[in-house]
Amino acid sequence: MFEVKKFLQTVGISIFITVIFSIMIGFIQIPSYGWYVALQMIITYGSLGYFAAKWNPKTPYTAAFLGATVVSILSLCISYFMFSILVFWDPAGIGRSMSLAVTLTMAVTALTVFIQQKKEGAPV
Amino acid sequence: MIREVFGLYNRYWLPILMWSVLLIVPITTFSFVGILYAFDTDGIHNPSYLAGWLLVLNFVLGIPPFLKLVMKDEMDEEVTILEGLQVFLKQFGFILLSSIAIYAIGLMGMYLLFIPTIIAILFLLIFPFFSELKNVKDVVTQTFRKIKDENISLVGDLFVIVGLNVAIWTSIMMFLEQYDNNVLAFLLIRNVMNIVILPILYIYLSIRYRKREVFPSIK
Repeated sequence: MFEVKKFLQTVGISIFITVIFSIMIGFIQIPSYGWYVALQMIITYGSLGYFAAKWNPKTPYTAAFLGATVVSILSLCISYFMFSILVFWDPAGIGRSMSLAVTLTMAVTALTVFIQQKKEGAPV
Repeated sequence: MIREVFGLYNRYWLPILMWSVLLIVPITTFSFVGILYAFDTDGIHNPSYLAGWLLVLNFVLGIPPFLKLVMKDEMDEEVTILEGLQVFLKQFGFILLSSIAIYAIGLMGMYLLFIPTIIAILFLLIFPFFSELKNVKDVVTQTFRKIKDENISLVGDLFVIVGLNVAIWTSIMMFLEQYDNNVLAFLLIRNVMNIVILPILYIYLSIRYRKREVFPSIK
């Protein structure tokens, strides 16, 4: 069964980890801004995928897909309404970023599920 | 009831102090800086709505560890610092995301004679005290049952919370307005104020809403 409470927990912990990580990495000077964003993206969606597999063991892929969609839409809305970056003027960019996010999250979830199954010794 | 609150405060001063430093100070800092940002930029259409949401979030996010303290004390068990942090991490997403939704309902309800707004604000005040229940349906039904049970005294609670904040903030400002303060000074004062008030309010409200539940026969 898909548990909504655990799903919200997953999204929340991913946002929390992103905040903490961004503060930590703000102290280090990274020369290229692209590397900074890429690192942040990997941390956000990687942790999302990991916790989706961990806390929703019955339906890991649904949780990962929905979580990635929710987090990316939230970030788009925040950058549009709060920072007034005109992201909605560029539909191709939205499609690219959302598909990248979903792909990354699903990949991490698949890896986590695979490792869990290996640990339990079940035939893969 | 006030004596109970101070007794709990006295017995668990170390976890309360640690949670104040580790949770309340960062949350207050974030919300304060967010409010400053919202009023400084031109991009946001209505900055006061965002500021209101951040103020509500500032109050609501810190509740779970203190609720855990009261619930564990009820069963004669000691609560550790790490447990409280774990509970905070687990409830963070639920409280954050559902407060966005409920606050949006409250904002849209302003056109309907403020009735949905009042219900949404009461819901926002009560639901973190039930957020550790198993599923979302339980949380919603328990919260509405609580709202129905003590309908008018909840407004009193709301007045206590808002009134304490306003009273302490204005009295501190009356002392401090003659100095030339900057943002950092305001931030520090706000942090200290929240460290002083919020744990007492959290423990008081969690005793009020959750205490009779474990032993219903006491009543």
